[in-house]
Amino acid sequence: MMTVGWPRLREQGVVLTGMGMVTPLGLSAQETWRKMLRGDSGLGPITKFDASRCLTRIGGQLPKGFEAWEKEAFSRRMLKQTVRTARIMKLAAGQALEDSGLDLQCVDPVRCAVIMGTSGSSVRSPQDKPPPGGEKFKILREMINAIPGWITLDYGFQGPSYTVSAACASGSYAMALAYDLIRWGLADVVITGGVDTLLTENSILRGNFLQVLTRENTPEAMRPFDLKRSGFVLSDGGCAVVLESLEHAEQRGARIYARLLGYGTVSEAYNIFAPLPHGEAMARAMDEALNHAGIARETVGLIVANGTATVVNDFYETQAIKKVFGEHAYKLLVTAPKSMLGHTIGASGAIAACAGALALFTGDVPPTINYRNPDPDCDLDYVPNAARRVPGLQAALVNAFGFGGHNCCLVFAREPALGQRPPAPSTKPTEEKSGISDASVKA
Amino acid sequence: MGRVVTAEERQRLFEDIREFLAAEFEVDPAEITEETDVVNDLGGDSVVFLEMVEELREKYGIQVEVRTIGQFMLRRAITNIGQAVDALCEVIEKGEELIAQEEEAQAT
Repeated sequence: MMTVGWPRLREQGVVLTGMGMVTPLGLSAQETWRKMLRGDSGLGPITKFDASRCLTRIGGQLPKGFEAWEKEAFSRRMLKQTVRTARIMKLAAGQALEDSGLDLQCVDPVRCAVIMGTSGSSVRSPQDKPPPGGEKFKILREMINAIPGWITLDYGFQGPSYTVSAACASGSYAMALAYDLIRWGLADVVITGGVDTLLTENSILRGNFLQVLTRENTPEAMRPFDLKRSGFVLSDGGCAVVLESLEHAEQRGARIYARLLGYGTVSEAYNIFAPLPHGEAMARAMDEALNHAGIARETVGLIVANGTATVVNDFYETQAIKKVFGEHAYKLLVTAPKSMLGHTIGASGAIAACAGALALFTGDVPPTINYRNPDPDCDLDYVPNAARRVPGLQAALVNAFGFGGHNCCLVFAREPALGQRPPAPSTKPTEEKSGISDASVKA
Repeated sequence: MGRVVTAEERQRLFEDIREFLAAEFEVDPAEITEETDVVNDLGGDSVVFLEMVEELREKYGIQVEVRTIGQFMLRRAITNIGQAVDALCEVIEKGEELIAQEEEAQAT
């Protein structure tokens, strides 16, 4: 019997073709990436609110000029109807679409979806007050599904759209779910990613209570994998990417940053915020992702680590990497972008995914900054303090482990894989336009 | 019972709506006419009609609930400002009669 209205499942390749970012390092993916390769820090003293009651008084604020830029980009009415997370993602999604070169006249809107991740800043950022007259829109402002909702309105996308929440793994989870929609032929294009604006007094006070935030108030305080690491720094930020089917991207001659080969999602079922000892569930998520991707462990040349600079996470993550990769763990690179960006929570997995994809595309690996004191228990190559040029990278694993025990690992591969035929010549998105080329990007 | 809306009052109602929309959508009031489509020309949304009604209820002594007015306007599929002004005039003129009319429409 014929099925009506439901496409036959047809396995498709999934590729990343566009990205947009609003982070403490910059107001675009290009600016953020450039500064990441330079090893810049986006962290500094908090001026966004009075942090005098907080033990941690540094954070990753959005760059100076963001507010003016936001006011320029949005009508007063939109400022009343949205919170900052929605506005960040409207901007990031616009950048990602532009970067992808997608011609919206040439896509089927019913086969375009929007899946976003956030830990729920819209209801957790009480300082994010509307302009006068905006209180009546409280419901519209606070609903965490407003982010994908607005993006579907902006572009007329009529496929599935929703928000997923998995704490620090929200952005990665969103990407994994977006991957499924494309992989099984249920969508051609998905705008996905993550966002949070949790640099707030409330989050810092509670983060201090949970002992996960550093109390050293210098911009160099976030030191993943360093012997003297002391916890993370909260940051605001958002990251959107365009995922599409390989077929769709090749047909339009798109520039492909990397191919998303698979993911592993596991629940620790252990503790509401502490990770399972020795990274057992972290290892399980990595294993699952690699098995799903179907590649040999030795193919992975880079891990974009969760690297939160807490004593426990970094030790367990290192143990988990060793468990999964064995001797190969000492040959691959492990980088922690949070050393530069701080912890953007819901955005961090998406930003890390972009870092992995860009490393494969450009051959440049961003560093783990503030690394001074090697820890005998964390003895891998963490790309300390300076970017590394590694042109032969074939695959990257991207880790995100969240409170609640939500672990999500993504596996990206170079596309086309080394030795395969190159894709059709790109006609639309040029390297000049994106500012990112597959030659070395030098700051 | 409601009351008769004079031509002057209708004009004032239009001007009030024009002023409200011009401020809300940051456009020159002179650009707004009775033919202006709130959604397509001003980039508005259906919520703006509710806001408009809320704004004008007190000023024009409208006793009818916003919800009833909303249902009444929805059934008329109002798109431009002239239609909205006419609908509000009808609300003022019909008053409680409108409530009964809407209740009847709901029942059927």
